[in-house]
Amino acid sequence: MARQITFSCNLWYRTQIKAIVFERIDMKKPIILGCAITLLSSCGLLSFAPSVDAKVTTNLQSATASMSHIAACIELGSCAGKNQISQVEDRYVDAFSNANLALSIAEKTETSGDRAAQAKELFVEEIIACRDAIKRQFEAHKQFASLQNAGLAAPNVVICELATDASRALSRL
Amino acid sequence: MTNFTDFAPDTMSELMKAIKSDLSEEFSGWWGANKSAVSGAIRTVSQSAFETQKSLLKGDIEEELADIALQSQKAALRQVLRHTKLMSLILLQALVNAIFKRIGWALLNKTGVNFFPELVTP
Repeated sequence: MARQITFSCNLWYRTQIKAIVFERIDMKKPIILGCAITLLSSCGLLSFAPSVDAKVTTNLQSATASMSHIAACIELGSCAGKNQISQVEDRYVDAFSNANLALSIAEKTETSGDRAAQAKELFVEEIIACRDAIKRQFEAHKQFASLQNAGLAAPNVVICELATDASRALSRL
Repeated sequence: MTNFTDFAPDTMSELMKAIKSDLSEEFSGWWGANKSAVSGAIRTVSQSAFETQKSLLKGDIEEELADIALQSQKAALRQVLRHTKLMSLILLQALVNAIFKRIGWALLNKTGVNFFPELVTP
């Protein structure tokens, strides 16, 4: 008897769901599609890139802003070489620490699927490239009398800018 | 800004039309942003390479500094390539998300069930 009631309830419930979802509303295909997508997604097949913490973007933006400031200072000649580096030393420290912080947060990003893992790896490499660029420029700034017109500062800004763009796009996902 | 809260398609073709429009919007936004970013980056690197060459020929900079500058320029070009690859993956994810979002809203508005809470936030 109990089994019969359970069966009847089940049947009633299923009929109601069917009526609500599949018959009264013509949404059969989207629901099936939704379920298929959910299934594919759970296997990581629809995962191409992970969503990244917005803090990474904030840190990279600060690093890029500092690098841009230093580049302008070098090109205008007001802190072109080793004798004036003290004017922008704080900016270098700020840029480097922000890039490092961004890297440590980005490395913790969780991924599902091979392609999302590949995207994370590419993103982490972009941040490392930005951090290395800051260090390379700082070392050169300490060593040479002038970096003005050397063609060194602008590419380094580009490296950090691209990492920031990628971070912005990833945090929007 | 697309209004999803009123989106309750009665037919599959209505839903597909909306998805197509979302995908097209997503792609144009991605293309516009990346086209300018990548071409701007390449232009800057080319100008820098020219500047290094000119300064080296004039004797304004040392060879060692020119070498460091070239390393940076190469690193920037590698970053452009890496970035292009990464942005392609981001585009695919954005397109998938756009489809999920549209279907999610349609289901939510029709049935009251939120299948994709991470994309559909009423």
